[in-house]
Amino acid sequence: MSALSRKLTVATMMGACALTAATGCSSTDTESSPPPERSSTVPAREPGKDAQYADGRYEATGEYGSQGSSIGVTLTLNDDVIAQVEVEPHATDPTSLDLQERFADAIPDRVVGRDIDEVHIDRLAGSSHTPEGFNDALGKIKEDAGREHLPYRNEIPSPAGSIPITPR
Amino acid sequence: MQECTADNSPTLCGPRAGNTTAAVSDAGKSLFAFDAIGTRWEIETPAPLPAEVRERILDRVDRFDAVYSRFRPDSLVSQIAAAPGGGRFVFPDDAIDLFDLYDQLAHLTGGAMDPLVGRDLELLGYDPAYSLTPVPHTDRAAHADARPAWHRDVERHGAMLRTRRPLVIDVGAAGKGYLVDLVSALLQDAGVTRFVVDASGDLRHGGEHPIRIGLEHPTEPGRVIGVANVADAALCASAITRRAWGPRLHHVLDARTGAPVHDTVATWVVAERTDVADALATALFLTPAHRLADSFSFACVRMLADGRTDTFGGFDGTLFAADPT
Repeated sequence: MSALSRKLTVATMMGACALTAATGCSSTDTESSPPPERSSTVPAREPGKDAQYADGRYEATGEYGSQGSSIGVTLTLNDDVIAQVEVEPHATDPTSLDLQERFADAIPDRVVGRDIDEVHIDRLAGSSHTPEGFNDALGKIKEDAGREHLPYRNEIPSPAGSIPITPR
Repeated sequence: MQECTADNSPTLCGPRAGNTTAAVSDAGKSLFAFDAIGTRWEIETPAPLPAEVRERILDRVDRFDAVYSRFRPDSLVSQIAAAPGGGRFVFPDDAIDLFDLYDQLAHLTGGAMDPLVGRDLELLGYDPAYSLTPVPHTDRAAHADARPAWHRDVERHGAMLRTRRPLVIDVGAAGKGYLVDLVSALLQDAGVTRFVVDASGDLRHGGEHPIRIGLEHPTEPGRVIGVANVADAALCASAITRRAWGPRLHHVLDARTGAPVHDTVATWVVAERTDVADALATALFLTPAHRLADSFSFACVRMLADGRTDTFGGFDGTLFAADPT
């Protein structure tokens, strides 16, 4: 089986995720209902003139974003056309947001911060405390690099890059 | 092949717990505060703690550090990380509960939570030298090809671990909560039933009368998004804005990929045991709450990456909802 060196673009991948999220909703149904159909057909990339990939199933774990969240993908190829894509969402992919929300007690709501002085509390639990060595090192790095956006401030990962596919 | 135990590890470089103070708060509570395992601890009790109890506590946290700190070269976990061919390593007996908890969570998260994530943390820059600089992608890829897993690469018999190559164990997800429980047990042994052990936001309360714990806004210091009422239970918080050292570089990783997670920004968990609350606060970044609920009794609050917030398990407290727009 020849190596599938072509890259599957992230755009295709994100489309597959969205479909999975939509069909995955049926997983909250009663047990008697059929298992959710997690497969979907997506537009194939235009095959080259020289069809070179063996038909069959290909499997990959893809990373997206420059730091790489990951997702499991199984492709079925027919005549160099992607006939079917199955996506297994790992917990770090954007789909899991939707998947996870369905099981929460409360409908997700936006909250606002209130000044600590306005709210009577005995103790505080959160993000203000970091190990001293860590903070020292971080301060030094900020100084050295002159970077302005440290520490991390809730940036939404942007899809970038591509996903190498290897034959199963 | 090495053979080590927690007790015959090299001489400690002296106690790490420092900056110790004993004081009385404005509210008339006695406060015993110290720095240990890289963070500030405060123990609040109705009456001052006897000196011998304070000594016992400092001694306990020092011994914990000597076993589990991957930031000091003489610790047991550093020896495991440095053993070229692996070895047989004996932890203190009370490590069994901690390892059992990790076994359980590695299973429930499908391997996303794994104490062997330590090497990935190092490669991303969270290393003993605090380089905070990720190694080149090629080096991370090389590690990914042979990424170890707790259930596969560590053979455990109770408190004894057998390894076959260098492995970086990081108990950061549950270790601090676990130590809070050990310290709380020392207080209870000394007859102290009303207390707060606060290890910078991972805390355990003892007593009937609930305390109000502010849930600190993960990106707005000095502000809280809500208040939890906690009595005779533990509350632990985790946030990817804490221990973060660059865009998308922080300490909560999916151990299967070695990559930082992004969907959830902050979690707060209330549970009976502090180690459980601590571990679940990390697990909630990696797996849905309902998947943990069959195995653990807990309540939680999550703040998602888009600012929305939800609760699970009958959270007792208040969240400050934004006005509808």
